[in-house]
Amino acid sequence: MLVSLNWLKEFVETDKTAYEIAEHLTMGGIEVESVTHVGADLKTVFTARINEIRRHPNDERLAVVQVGLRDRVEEIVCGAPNLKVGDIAALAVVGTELAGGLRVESREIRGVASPGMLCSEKELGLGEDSSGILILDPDTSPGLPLGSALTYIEDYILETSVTPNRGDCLSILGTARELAALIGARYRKPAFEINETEENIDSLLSIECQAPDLCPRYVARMLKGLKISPSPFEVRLKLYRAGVRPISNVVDATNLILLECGQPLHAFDYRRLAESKIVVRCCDDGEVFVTLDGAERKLPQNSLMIGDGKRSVALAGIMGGLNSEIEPLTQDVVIESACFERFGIRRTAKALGMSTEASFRFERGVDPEGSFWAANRAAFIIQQLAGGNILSGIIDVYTNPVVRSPVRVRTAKVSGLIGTDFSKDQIVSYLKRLEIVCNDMQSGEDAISCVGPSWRWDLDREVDMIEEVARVHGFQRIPISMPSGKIKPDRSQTLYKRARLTAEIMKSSGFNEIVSMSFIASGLCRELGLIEQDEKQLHIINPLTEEHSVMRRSLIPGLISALKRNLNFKSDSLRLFEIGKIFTPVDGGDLPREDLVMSGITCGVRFPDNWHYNRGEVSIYGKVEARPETDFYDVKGAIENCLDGLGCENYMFQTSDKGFLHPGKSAMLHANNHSLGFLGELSPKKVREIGLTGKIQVFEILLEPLLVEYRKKVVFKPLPRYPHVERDLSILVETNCSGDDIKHLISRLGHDIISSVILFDLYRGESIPAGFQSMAFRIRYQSEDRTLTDAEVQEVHSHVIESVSKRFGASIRD
Amino acid sequence: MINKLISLKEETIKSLGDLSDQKSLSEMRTRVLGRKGELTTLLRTLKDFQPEERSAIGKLANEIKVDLESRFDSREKFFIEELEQRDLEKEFIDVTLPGRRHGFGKLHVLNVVTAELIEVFSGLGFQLAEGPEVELDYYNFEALNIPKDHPARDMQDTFYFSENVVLRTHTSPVQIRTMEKSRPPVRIICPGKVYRRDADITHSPMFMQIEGLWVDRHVSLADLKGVLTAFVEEYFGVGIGLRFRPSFFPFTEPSAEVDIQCVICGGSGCRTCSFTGWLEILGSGMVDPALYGFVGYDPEVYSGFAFGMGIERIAMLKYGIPDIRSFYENDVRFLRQF
Ligand SMILES: [Zn+2]
Repeated sequence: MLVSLNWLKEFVETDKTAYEIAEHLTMGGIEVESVTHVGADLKTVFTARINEIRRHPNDERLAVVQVGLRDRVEEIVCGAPNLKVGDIAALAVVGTELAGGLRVESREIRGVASPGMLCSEKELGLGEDSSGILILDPDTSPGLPLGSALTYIEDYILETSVTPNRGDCLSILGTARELAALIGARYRKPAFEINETEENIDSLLSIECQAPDLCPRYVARMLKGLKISPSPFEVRLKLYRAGVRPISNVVDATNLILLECGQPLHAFDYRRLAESKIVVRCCDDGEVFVTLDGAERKLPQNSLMIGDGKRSVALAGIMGGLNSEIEPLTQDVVIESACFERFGIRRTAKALGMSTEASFRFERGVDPEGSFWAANRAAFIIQQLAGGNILSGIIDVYTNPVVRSPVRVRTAKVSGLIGTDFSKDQIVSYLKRLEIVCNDMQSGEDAISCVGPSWRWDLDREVDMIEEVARVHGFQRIPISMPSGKIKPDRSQTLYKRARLTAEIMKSSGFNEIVSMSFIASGLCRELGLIEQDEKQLHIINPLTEEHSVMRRSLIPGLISALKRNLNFKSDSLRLFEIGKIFTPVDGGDLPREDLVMSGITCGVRFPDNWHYNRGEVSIYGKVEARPETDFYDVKGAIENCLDGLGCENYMFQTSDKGFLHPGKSAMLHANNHSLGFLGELSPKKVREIGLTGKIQVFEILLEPLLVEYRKKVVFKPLPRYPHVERDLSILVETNCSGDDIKHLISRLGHDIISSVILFDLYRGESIPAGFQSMAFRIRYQSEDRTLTDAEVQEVHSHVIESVSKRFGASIRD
Repeated sequence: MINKLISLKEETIKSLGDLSDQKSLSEMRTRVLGRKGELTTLLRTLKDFQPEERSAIGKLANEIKVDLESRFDSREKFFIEELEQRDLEKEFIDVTLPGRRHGFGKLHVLNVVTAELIEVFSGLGFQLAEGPEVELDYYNFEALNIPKDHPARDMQDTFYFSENVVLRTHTSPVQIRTMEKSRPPVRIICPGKVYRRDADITHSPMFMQIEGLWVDRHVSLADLKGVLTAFVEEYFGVGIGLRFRPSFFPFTEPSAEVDIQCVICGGSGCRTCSFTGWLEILGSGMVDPALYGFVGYDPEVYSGFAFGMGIERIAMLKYGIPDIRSFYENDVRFLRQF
């Protein structure tokens, strides 16, 4: 809420500056987000009386206006349509900087010199009206700087952010009352006296409330014979600075009261109320209503309406209807000052997507005890602004007056929860500042019986009162202590730490970690083939955009879009990975399954811009590749690093049949017969479809099983005590021969004396027949209990050679 | 004979100094000390002397031999080192060039900050707890004292999957789930992704939060102040001022916002702190007794505090990042800065 300091000081006695007040409010829980000094920069704008208006000699749309200041006159060229001799206007002299940034210069306008400018309120930053010049009240004396003539122009605006429990502070009076309590100053409510006519409201109007649960109180007053016109400048400025658009005196008066005391009001044109009746009731099913902003609205069920004898005339607590709006010729008005129940208003406003000054306050609770006062205050102010007569009598339908039961507040509980000792007297003195009624308990226990004021609906429990004590005492003054507790071993971070370890390993393999949105476009996973057409996704009912409308079932789409973004910014060799959740709907369950996965993507060259590798690597074809592309084995290596680092065993890579991957360059990761994910090169077709080129590697593996289930138990193995012998085996086999199979075969033939088998060379180049490759294995022979003899090794090695040749059709090379 | 020996020694020492390379050194060594060398030749005449003279001459000859051997050795060592030095001088590499690396990635700054925060709170006695991101309305709102139609729901615009399933808007449901399945003392820290229907320079529809909860006997607002002061000192540095001011959250009572002295300007006022000198970094408060009703704790016995903060906010302050969206654009030029 925008709180004018001038206005605030009408109700609280204090010499404190705007900034000090802001500090007190903020530290008391009414956060002041900003303090703006306004109207201080109008030192060169003067009040000026319009003495004479002549037509401009060269332009019939302009006038030459002679204005009188205190001791001189000036002739100003002006094009405003509302010039009138005798009015007091605002003259900006040369050098003035106007609100829009325009500087007033001395210049000739179509041949006539104009040493200044008559300004509109918009040009002065004092309103929104730019249809004509600003006309000040007739009793304003001319020739004074604007700020001296109208002292209310200079002001500070405090922008408060009021929490949902403190609807009572959504007004100037409420803020003043709170400030007074916080700084211990005097607060005074405005006093006024109403002069009523003899005519009584009861003879003209009847009110019926059919929904007392949604409308606990409905108060009405009436005025007759008033005259609609624009409000005086001071009222308009007050509204403007509170962010409310001035309309006409009666409507402005209701808004003024709303801002002043927080009670939303509505003014009906009496003559437009059928049967001179107001009925508070729920809307008809499917009812359509036109609010005064001209919008036709289909009302949600059970919306509370204000009706006359025949039809609805207002959407209760939210907005009036077009059919009973105040019009320029309105003379008789009914003022509604009602208290509507919070949740009802909120339901309707929310369903209609509306938030008005009125609904905002009703949703946060309006003081039912304040409605009566506000009705009188409104009648008084309307009469001041629009004349007319106030009818005698008030209609007040208050079926079930709110009765608040006392709350027991124990001294020990207050001290215990806050963490410092308070005496009973201290507690009482704090609570009383907030107009909380405190009495001793009849039982004589060390406690107080408290009743909160009617505007504080949020104070109905002991803990609510304790908060008030802490607040008035000042949170800053509460001491600091450390809670004590038994220490216990912390196993809670195990999984988290393993996941972060995995990320660290990926980082060492050159991958950058990304975090992408958990929601993606609904078609993505299917288009990429990551899920089948008939696999379900979790759809958000109210997504911000279609791009973010389903929960991801794979991290690959997010990685692709990150890749694309970086390619657009000319980063061409990329390795990205993400660890995050994927969401799989579960039949019959409310919540989806959430799986932690790790996925990655690469493109470009293996060693970007690294002088060591610029001359290239020798490929398996014996060719020197100058800038080798990142390939399957880079990704596999990174994953193997993770598996190794996490201590996983019993995993293997098998060929994959994922349609979106290159059939020859992709694999599935298996562990204990469970598929944990895939890795490989994206098929050229998919690469084209997503609008990219080159070779792109992707992978996605379920992380949690790797962190939990597949960790091997580490048992120390004694270091070998006897020397090893190495023999190389060089063979020629067909290219579809699996290196793993050969390795496993050799290991199996080991007779306990083969301790390792490593492929150390692979070649498919010149001198090798097409369709074949040369593979070289280094076999290490070693025994745990003796030094092996040459003959022993030779025997096994020969057997290995023989079996490999037979099993794989390999020929032996020397 | 003695004179001959001495003069052999002196001549040898003299010419040793004149030698210029290893080859001539080794030739001279053979000439003087070799099997057919000058010293041996000289000693062959020893048999012509009297036994008593023989022993004295023999002793001297042996001394001379040992002395010369060591002189040859040290001269040889000198030549070898000199040669080596000359070779080393030719083998120059540019040590300023980058080393041989296979690329090194970076971790996402939000995950790094999360890990740092977990570490700090872990040191203060909190255990880690995590929970689902797609959550029941019950855990996200109802059990946190935010009934349907409560205006507090406006503070957190929500993504829905159905009437009763939402994307969690905070990590607080983890607190309820944890309390449901364990008895006090409960001391947990809950990091994770959360979602609100909001997108601009300071709001991302997905962001990260970390929340803490401490429930036990006799826990007070003063304890909350103590723990959060310890956190701020540990993470932002000792001497950074902080202030607690009353606020409102449906799940805490009393509630407090915590501001720290602006880490950009030190409290004198700048754009980041809107010229207030203070930065709002977290929300906190004493757990509202209503929550204990949902998890079956006795509010007369237990009390506790809770707090929560946005990881992005912390990272933005720590590194001076102006736009929250940059965390999720995944631009490597951004990612690699941390
Ligand atoms: Zn600052």
